[in-house]
Amino acid sequence: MLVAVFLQTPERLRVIAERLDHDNEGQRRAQAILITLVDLKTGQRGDLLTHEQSQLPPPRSAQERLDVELAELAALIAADPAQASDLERLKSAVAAKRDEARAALSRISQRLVQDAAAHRAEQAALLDRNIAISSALLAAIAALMVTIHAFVRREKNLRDQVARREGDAKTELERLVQVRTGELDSAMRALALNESRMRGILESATDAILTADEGQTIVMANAAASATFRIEIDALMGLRLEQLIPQPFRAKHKADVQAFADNHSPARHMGRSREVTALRADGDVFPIDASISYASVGGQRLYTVILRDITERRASERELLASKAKLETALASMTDATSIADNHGQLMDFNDAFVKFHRYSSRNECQQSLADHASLIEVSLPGGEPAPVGAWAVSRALRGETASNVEFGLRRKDTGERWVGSYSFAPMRSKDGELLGAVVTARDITLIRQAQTDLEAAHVELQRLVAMRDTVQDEERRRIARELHDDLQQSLAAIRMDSVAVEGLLPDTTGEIGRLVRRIDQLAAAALASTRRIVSDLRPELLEELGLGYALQSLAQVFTERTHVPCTVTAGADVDELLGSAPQAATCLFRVAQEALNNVAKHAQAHRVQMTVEQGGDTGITLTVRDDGRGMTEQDRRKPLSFGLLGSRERLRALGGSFRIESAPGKGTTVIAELSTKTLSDRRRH
Amino acid sequence: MKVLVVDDSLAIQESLGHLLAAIPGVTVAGYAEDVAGALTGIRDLEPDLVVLDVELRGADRGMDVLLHVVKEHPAVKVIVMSNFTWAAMRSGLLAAGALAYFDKGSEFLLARDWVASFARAHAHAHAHGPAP
Repeated sequence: MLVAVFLQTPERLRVIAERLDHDNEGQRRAQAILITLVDLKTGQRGDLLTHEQSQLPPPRSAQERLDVELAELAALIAADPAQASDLERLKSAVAAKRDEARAALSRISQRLVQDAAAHRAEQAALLDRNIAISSALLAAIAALMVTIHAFVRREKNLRDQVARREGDAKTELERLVQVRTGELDSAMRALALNESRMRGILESATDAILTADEGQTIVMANAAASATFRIEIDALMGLRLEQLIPQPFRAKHKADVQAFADNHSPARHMGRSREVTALRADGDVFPIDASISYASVGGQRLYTVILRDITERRASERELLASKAKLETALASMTDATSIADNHGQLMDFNDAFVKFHRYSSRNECQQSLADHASLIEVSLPGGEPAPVGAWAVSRALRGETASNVEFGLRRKDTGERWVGSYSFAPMRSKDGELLGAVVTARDITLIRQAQTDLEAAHVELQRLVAMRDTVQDEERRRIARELHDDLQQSLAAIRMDSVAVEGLLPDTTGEIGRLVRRIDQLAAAALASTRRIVSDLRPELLEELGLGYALQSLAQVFTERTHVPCTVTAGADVDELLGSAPQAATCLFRVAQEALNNVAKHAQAHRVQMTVEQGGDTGITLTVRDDGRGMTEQDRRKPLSFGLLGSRERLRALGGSFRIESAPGKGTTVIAELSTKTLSDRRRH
Repeated sequence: MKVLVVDDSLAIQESLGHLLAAIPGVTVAGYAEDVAGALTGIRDLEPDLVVLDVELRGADRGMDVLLHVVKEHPAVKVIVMSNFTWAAMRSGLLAAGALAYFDKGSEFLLARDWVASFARAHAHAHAHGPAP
């Protein structure tokens, strides 16, 4: 019967508990306490029924569990003061029960061995009381359960209420969302238009464009970015910016972006002072030129990076540097002043010779613009008139002109120093013909010019000297010829006449006296022949008397007599008339012919000689002396001219004529002298 | 036959005079050394023959004497004896009216023979012609 009651009470409790919401935590706790109590009771009952030690542990641990569960329940219902008293009652009930149970257990364990049977009845009675207490306790727990259930129900109602209100709010929200969605749709359509336009721009951009959010995750990239980083656009999106930066620079990049963001500047160029590099998907590191801009959209920060792969530019920059270095070396090695100007005439490059040429003391001192240059240096044309900047070599080159050996006079305005420059210049063009600038070289030819002037003066002097020498010589020759002719020849002729007379007076011409007289006559005849030849060589009056043609014939005659080489003379009909107004021309040509014949006699081994004097052109006279001798070899040509030929050349030059020798080995030699009587008559007028 | 020797060389005057004077029938009537002397001699001495040099004293020219004789005294004959051997000179004077041209240094014997021949012809003409 006891057992039935004992069993019945928990059953009721369970029923009560089932009525409660299963979700209720209080219920769960209450159930846990119930189970613990059942465990407790079961242990006690087992002990009582069996007196077996093995029945003891469950009730012991049940007690401990009870403490824990009570504490948990207390915590659970702490928020509800109304239940606090119930709990307190429960607690005290449980505590009392437990104390009793503990005492009972203690007693049981003490008396267990002594007299189990003797105390069984007492124990049974005690148990009954315990059961009564337990029942009361269970009743209290049940009451508590109800309270807890009520509390839970209230909570649930409250939740339902909130849920209903939430439902209303949601409906309202959905309505609002629909309205907003409509507005948004049209906005989106407009945006889509803008975006497609924007995307078009982005896609057609040759620069890589990347947009990253605040977290530096790439949210937008264009085709150029894809190509530059060698990665699909889709794969690019979602990468972090720093993944496109070589490892060593990532930290620095992060700091830079942060600093940029903090600075709130809208845009910035990256790496003005250093080279910025980026990392391709395939690991290739390459130099870039990049700028970053920042925008805040709907409270979100967006960074847009525009960058360009400048690998090629770097390469061409390096190439440029290399060729510039080459150019510098070339410039430095040039002894001519060399400068390169841009298409405005601005000095871009120049060598040390340029500095020296313009009498600057250092490279720094070299003026940069044409105007600056003109303020220090005065330039003049060869005639002496000032040359404006537009007439300078560089200006002419910039107008597309190319020239060499163009002379300009220069003068330093500060020191007054003057010098002469010989310029060469050319425009500088790109492959497609665009004018880029000009290259000008200049050489200081002051000394050369001076030497030339001196040489010309010396030559004029020489010609005067030659002319004078000729005059003096001619006079001297004339005097000697006259002496020989007037005196010696007459005397010799007289000696011969007298010899004949003496011989006629001799009674016997075969004797010693006759022989001596004849010898005297022979010697006189030989001397006479010699003097005649000498006179013929020396005496040019023949020219004045009878003209060049006859004089040349006489010359030829004497030549043939001496050398036994036939010599023909052809004289143009107008020659003597032309020369009538220019006697010194006739003398000159006569002397040239005479010298030519001398050379033929000495060197030519000729078989025939032909002399021609004829009119050439309107006013010119050409004398040609042609032989069929051995001609001149290269070696002969390299020899300095004989004094005779040199004299011929200078004679002709002094009269404004020309002299040349045409010859080839085995082909004979031709001496050609040309004179213009116009020049001669002009000379006479002056 | 009277001969006038015109030559600026006194040595020639003497030697040539001696040579010509040795020719039978020839008288060297006088000497001149320039144009003026020659013209005076021709006028005053009335020579039959003038033996003339090309170049005379003081740059005078024998040609001028020849031209004067040809024009003023056509009866007087002229031969030239010169040290100039050029053909041009020779032909020029012959063309101007000289009867002969002799190289003074090498042809004086020819000249002597020519004068001798001329003198014979002159004597013959005067012997058979009208009295002078």
